[in-house]
Amino acid sequence: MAIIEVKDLSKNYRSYKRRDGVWGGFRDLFHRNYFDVPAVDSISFSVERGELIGYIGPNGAGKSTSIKMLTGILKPSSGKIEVDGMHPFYQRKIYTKNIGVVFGQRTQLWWDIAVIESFRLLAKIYQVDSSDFQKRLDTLSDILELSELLQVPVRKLSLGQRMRCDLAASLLHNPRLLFLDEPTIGLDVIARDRIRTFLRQINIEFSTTIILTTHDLKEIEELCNRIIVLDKGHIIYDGSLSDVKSMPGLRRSIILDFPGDAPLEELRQLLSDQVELTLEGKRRLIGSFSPDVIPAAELIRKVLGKYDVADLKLEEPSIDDVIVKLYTEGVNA
Amino acid sequence: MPELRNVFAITSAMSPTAQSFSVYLAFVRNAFLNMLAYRLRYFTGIVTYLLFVSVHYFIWQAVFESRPGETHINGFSLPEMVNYIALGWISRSLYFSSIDNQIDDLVRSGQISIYLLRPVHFHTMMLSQAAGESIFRLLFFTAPISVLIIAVFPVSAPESFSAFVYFLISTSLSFLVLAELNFITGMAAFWLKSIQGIIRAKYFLVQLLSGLLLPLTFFPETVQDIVRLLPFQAIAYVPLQLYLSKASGTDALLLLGEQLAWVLALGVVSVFAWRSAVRELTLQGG
Repeated sequence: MAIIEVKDLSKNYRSYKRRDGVWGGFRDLFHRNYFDVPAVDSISFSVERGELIGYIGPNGAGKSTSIKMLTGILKPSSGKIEVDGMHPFYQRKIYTKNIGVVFGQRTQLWWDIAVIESFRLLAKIYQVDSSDFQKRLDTLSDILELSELLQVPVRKLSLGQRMRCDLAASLLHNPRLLFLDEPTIGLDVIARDRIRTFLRQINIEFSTTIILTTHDLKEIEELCNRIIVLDKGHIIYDGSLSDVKSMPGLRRSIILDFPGDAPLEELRQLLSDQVELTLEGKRRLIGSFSPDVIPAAELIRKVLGKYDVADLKLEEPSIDDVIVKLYTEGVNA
Repeated sequence: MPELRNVFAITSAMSPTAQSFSVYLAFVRNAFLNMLAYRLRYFTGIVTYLLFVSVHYFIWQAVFESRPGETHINGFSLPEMVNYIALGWISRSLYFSSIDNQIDDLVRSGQISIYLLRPVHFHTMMLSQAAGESIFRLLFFTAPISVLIIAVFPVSAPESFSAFVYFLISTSLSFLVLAELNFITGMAAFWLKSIQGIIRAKYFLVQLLSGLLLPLTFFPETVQDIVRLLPFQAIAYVPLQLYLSKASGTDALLLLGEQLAWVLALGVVSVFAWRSAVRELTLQGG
């Protein structure tokens, strides 16, 4: 059974058009020309228990707004939304007991008191009994290396330290569903890696469903098997990462190393317009090509048939290329 | 991590009512701890309050000196006025709260979203935190200024022990009346870009109409009739009347009942205001 069911979900923000000039400003005081700005426009998707989903989109795509509807903070303007059998907004007080949320830009810890005090209060709020609390705290502080931070007030923590504490805070009540909005923002490589490993682990062992929003596409690539891409309030792609990578029109790269000077001009003639070639140093050529125009095998055969090549490497389109292409052209371009 | 499985196993919950009371008690405790970080902030407050009381003391002394032969003005003698001012400011140090500003900050910064993610009743939580802050001030603010004011000015004890008990109960109710008023004021932040003007207007209304600055009997009759229908007098005037034994016995109980009625009425308004406020909430960005 799906844990998240969203159908035709929309959220409009009310805005008004200002009139020009002094007289217009005066008239605005009494009567405003309101109109609705759709932030999320009729999106539908469902999520199965245990999925780890990358939820991506450029700024202003409607990511935050839809996450806020999914977490019960915002009331949807229209459409159906059901998570874990509940309406997040109307059943907020019960619903929020079973979800964990980390907003990378905000902290859910209390600013002026020691981290451990915040944890204790959260344990009270979520009704975690003390032996469970102690066990989870020990484990989380072990994995996220919190032991030296627990007595420090939050305002004295660095961003990375605070994020680790926030992540632990969101898991103390063992939520079935975890929403992570930019959870590794500002963290160093080691901390990021630690957190990714941890997320994968809880996802596999406890079927914790995780919805991950991030601008770090490498993170998506490492963690998620499914991505939902938003743009201008619409879902423009929902599916596996490997499918989107093989979509038509994406270019692959070939790197050719020659024993002597690279024969740039000759190769340009041989391959005509099918491959875009650039020289790197003296002996290396990088070619960018579209597999629909010339398949990789044919390209390699042509080159190897005529030239002596010391080394050769093929590169898949990077996830960044995929996303940029999705934003600019859509899936079917 | 082999032990992860045991650590995150589903466990039974405790009884909901016992739990929810302890949740809000935890908020009281937390607010208290939070305030400890700023305990030095109140040193300036102590000086300010002492100044307020001094200024009013000298004004009333001048007022009474300018009317020789009159022992009472509008029902108050000079010693009573001194008690009125001193106790007025002492109790204010205990009952005031900044819920309105706190909500304004939460909404404008967007931090309100964090509060909405928690399975708690926002209204009760804000009141609990305010209570924690008041308990903090009782120790670090109200206690020292009481000692100072009583040492410097001729403040006298209430006529009876029961008057003192009434005063204490009444001051606690004052806290609740003002807290609800502040909560309702704060709700305006969900609709308006800035509510600092409203907060300031409310501040002056409370100062004047609660009876903190001068007893309500000093107002013209018609104004008095209107003020008696408003919740503000339940904040300062009622507890001070009880301290000065201007009402006792059944009258005292009636005054306490009136305060309690205001708490309940404003509480209902708060809850409804909160419900429609959350529906109104729009958070753009972050």
